[in-house]
Amino acid sequence: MKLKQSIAVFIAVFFGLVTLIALLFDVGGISIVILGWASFLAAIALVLGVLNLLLVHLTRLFRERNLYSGVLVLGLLAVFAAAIVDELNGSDNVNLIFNWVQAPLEAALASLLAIFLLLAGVQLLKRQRTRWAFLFSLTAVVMLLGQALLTSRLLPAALRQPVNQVVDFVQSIVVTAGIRGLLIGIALATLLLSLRLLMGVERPYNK
Amino acid sequence: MSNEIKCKTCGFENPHSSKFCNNCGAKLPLSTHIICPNCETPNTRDRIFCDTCGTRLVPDTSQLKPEEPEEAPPPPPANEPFSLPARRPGDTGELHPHAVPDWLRTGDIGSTKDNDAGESDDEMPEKKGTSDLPDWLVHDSDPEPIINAPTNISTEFYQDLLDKAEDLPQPDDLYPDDDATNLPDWLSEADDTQAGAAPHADEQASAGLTGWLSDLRDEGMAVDDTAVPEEPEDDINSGLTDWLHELDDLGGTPEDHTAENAAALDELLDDQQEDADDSDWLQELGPAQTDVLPLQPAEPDEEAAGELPGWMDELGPVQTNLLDPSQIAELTGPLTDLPEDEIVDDEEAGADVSFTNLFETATGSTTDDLPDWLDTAVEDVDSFLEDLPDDSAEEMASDFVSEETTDWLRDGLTADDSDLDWLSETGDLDVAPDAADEITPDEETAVADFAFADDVAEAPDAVDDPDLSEDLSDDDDFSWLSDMEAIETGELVVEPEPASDEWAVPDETSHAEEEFLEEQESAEAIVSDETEDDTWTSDTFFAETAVGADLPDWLSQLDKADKTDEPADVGSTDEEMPEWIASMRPGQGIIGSELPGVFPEMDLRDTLEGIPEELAGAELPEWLQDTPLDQAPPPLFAASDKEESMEIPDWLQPDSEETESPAATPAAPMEQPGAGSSRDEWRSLLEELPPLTPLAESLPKADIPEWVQQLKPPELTGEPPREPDGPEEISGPLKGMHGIVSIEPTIAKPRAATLPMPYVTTPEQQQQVALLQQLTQEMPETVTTLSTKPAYDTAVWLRVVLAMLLIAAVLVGLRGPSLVATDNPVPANVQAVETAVSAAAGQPVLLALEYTPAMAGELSPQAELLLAQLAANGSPVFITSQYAAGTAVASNLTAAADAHMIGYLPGESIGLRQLGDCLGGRNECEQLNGRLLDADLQAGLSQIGLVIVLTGDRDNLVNWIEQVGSVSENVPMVAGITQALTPLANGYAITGQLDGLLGGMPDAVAYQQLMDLPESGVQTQLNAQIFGQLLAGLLLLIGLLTYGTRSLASNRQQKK
Repeated sequence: MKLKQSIAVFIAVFFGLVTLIALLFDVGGISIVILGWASFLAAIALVLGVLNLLLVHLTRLFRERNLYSGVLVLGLLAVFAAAIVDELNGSDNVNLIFNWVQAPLEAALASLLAIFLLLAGVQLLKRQRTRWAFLFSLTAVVMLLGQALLTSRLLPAALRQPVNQVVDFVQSIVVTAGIRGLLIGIALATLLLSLRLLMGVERPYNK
Repeated sequence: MSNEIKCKTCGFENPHSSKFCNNCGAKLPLSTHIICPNCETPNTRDRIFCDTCGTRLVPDTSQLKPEEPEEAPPPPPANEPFSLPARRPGDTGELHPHAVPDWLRTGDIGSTKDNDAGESDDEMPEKKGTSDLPDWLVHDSDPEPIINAPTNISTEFYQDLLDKAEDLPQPDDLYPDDDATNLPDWLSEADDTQAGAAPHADEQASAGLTGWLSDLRDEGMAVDDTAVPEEPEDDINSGLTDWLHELDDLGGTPEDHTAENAAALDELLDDQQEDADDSDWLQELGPAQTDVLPLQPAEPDEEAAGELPGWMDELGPVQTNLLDPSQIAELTGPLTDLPEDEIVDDEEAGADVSFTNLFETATGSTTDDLPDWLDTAVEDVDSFLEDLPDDSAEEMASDFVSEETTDWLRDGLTADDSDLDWLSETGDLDVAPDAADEITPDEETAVADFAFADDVAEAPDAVDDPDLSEDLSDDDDFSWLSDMEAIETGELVVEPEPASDEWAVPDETSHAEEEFLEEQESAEAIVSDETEDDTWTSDTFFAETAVGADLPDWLSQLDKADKTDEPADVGSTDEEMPEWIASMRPGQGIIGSELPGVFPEMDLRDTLEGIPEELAGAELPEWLQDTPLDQAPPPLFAASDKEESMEIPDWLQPDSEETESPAATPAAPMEQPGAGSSRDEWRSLLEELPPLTPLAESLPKADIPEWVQQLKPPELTGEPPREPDGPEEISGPLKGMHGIVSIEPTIAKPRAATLPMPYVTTPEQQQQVALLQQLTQEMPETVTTLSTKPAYDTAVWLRVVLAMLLIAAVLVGLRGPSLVATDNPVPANVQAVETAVSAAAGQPVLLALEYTPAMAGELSPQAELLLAQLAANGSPVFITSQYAAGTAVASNLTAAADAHMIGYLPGESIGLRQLGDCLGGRNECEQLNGRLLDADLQAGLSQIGLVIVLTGDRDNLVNWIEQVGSVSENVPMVAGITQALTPLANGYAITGQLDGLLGGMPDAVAYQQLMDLPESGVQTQLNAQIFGQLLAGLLLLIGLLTYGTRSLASNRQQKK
């Protein structure tokens, strides 16, 4: 291991252990200071990230003639200029751009997500004729129809209770079980990763 | 002990064997070690043997080359070894011309060596093989010599030399204020002394001449101005080599030169006698007067002997010989036999007058009038005569006054045959080239001697070279050069050793030489008897002269030889010195016996070639300058051999025994002295040799190795022949031989054809072949059926249809009839939210809008309901978001509410952790993530009674629950999430980590109905959602059924 890497590992392990000790023994002062340093570094990283993003897309714009990069650069500069103008004039140009540009675009993309999910579900059995695919598609149909039917008046009252039990079973037991399993797996992975970071085995900062 | 040596200059650590620093080049201290080759112990450099094991560290070069000096560097490998001609001590006779290297015989180093090596000139470097020779011995092979001697020497040649001399830097130019600066000290002093005594009109013209020669010339000019008129070229001649200048000045007939020389000498001696104060400079004229003074013994008068200059006293034996009456008698004896025509010529030149006047003047003068050096000479002569036996003295006296002597003196033959004769001989150079064709044997000898002058003229090059001068001065081998200068300057007196018996007479030795030898034989008989009794001759001089201790080794060895062994046995001295050094002694070089075939064969004109101009100065070593002029007397082998023998120092005189040899062997008149004894010696040596025996018999029989014995043919061993292995060849060139391995190719022999083994295929292989054939036949049909175009078309229209159906369903839900059920029971999580919000009435509420506009359609209705509830409860709202877009969403939602914007909260879980520490009065947070908080914010955060998180992101919800909810346990937390995230949030709600939960649009409608809030479009949005979900469910079901049935059908077909 080189000296440069050793220094980074030492810093990471040291502050990781200090933070862990502060959390375990509720030493708020130390953890606050360390978290303040981390937030400051994160802010700087954000600024550097913005500059890097600008530089990368400028490079792609002028070297590769990538119009999308040009749009990104123009949007960034436009919002930055609007924010400065807002600070100087007290206007609300940034919210205007957000409400008329970003919000509709993100909503449209979310709607397209519903369409693509539907298309994928419809063609699922066409491409993959397995029992698990069938089960997946069946579950999706049940949940969609069940949620829609339970909240609508289309479903008769006599059927609403059993459907509600089925939906609740799926959500409360099946889905929750699956999600809990995912969360437990994530927690175990987080614990293992934390130990590896504290022991210096995992060094994502050197990559 | 460290094996590295640290440099004192730069501190660099060098290997132990380094003499100089590898870094800065500084010389390392002597502590550099020598690694023992045996035990690898580092020894200091001054060690010869290893300190540890005693192994010799330095190669023992003394055993290999005992005569080689220790400091002499090894010869470069590029040079080829060569050897100078050397003769064993005692060897006499003519040296075979082939025994002399070509380079030495011709003087051309490079070409001769190349020819000897059989290589071209281009391949051999110049002076190759002569690197171990001093430069003065190496003939200058300068491709462009300053003086290119023509084939025929003429006056035009010398005139050309004069013209060239003008272009060369003159001594006057170099030292305008001091003409004598360029001269040796002893010459400068002589010149100054004489100049002060007798200035001449042409002094300036002769400034460049060697002092003593100039003096001679000047005096001669004074005596006979008519014979040699002063010429205007004198100014030009100042830059010439002195002896060349003399040659030029003495241009004319030999008779004229002889007369001029005699007159000059006469005038010189007259001046010496007249002006005693000027005699000092003459005392310093060593070699110049050496030529003259041998004739002085012809004067029997003691006063005349007293007139001898002091430097003759220093010559010791020479002086003894000169003053020996018997030698004088022998000297003058042969002169009487000279032809009359020569006498007449000399008389015409007036040479007789010079010596006659010389001795007559000396006789007539008194001792009181004599200069000091003559007084000293008189005293020495007196003492010498007193030491002589009576009979010898009488005989000597009688010889002195013999008629032959007087006749010789009267006839003036001495002037012709004196040492100055060589000047007259050289004067012939000025004569037309035809004169060279008329060279007499005497002149040939002179030419040969002059050739030596050419060779020795190379010496100034070496002397002028500073490096070589140092070598010469440092090296004892060359110390005799400096000592010779001391001899001439009077600082050192060297007794000439007896002549070596190895002097060789060239083939061209004339009959006159033979006569000279015969006459010298008789003279030596007297002289040898006397000199044997003269103990002072060498010992006295060496003892009396302090400088004698500084004599070179070879001279010291000669002296020792005289002391210990027989004085006449010169061979012993030659054995102690290298032969080549002995061969280069001035005296021997003059005699030329060591290098026969070199000088006699060389033309005088050749000797002038290659003489550089710088040799024309006076910086020539004195002995070299004077040698050709003074010690190369042509009469040595010319007119009077006997007289020449008188001029040769005793140590150069041949032994009396050997000189008798020529006379004893009249059958071989040209044979060299001592040749007979040498032949006898060789004959005796041959007789002592063992008889010749066949080489095979003399060699011992060696043991033959075993493996060689095994190779011995059976015919020689006697063993029965072994049976041959293998069949016998019956044809071909190897017919009759056995065991021949056949290399005949198979196809050359006709053999019976054999069928190969049949290839048997297994059933599996046959099946594979059939399958491969089937596949190859069915492949075209398969390829044609594959097409992606129908699938592409299906996907496109399906996507478009599905999208249109969804859009239609949403539009129907928004604008169509409401399908939302109003009688559904309120979920428990919704009631928990209402409880938490109600409980936090009046308290600050922290609202986290953690969503983007993409989820605003589902979450914003919840936010609006909650904000309306909070506003109704009078709870101030502090809004923050970990999304940059969340603040913008919040600004739209809280336009009419009492909201305080905390703003963007970076750091995700870390930022949320810091925020959690500030909630519920846990800590006084003056700043949050580097942002300073005002007092209202600090108070509001410390008094937060409810945390409401609106998010559609799982991680964000988890971070809030785990980072903030775990820290501020006393602060309730409710969440408004999307319907898709509801299953995840239910787990936290069940565990109590979330106090309430609003999941999607259905819970929002339920919360609205629960709180009796005004319609804000929540039910419309839910209606559109219901239509969309129903459509999506139906489509999925249709697709499921369609593709499910097709897949089942295909599976059945495959199973069938």
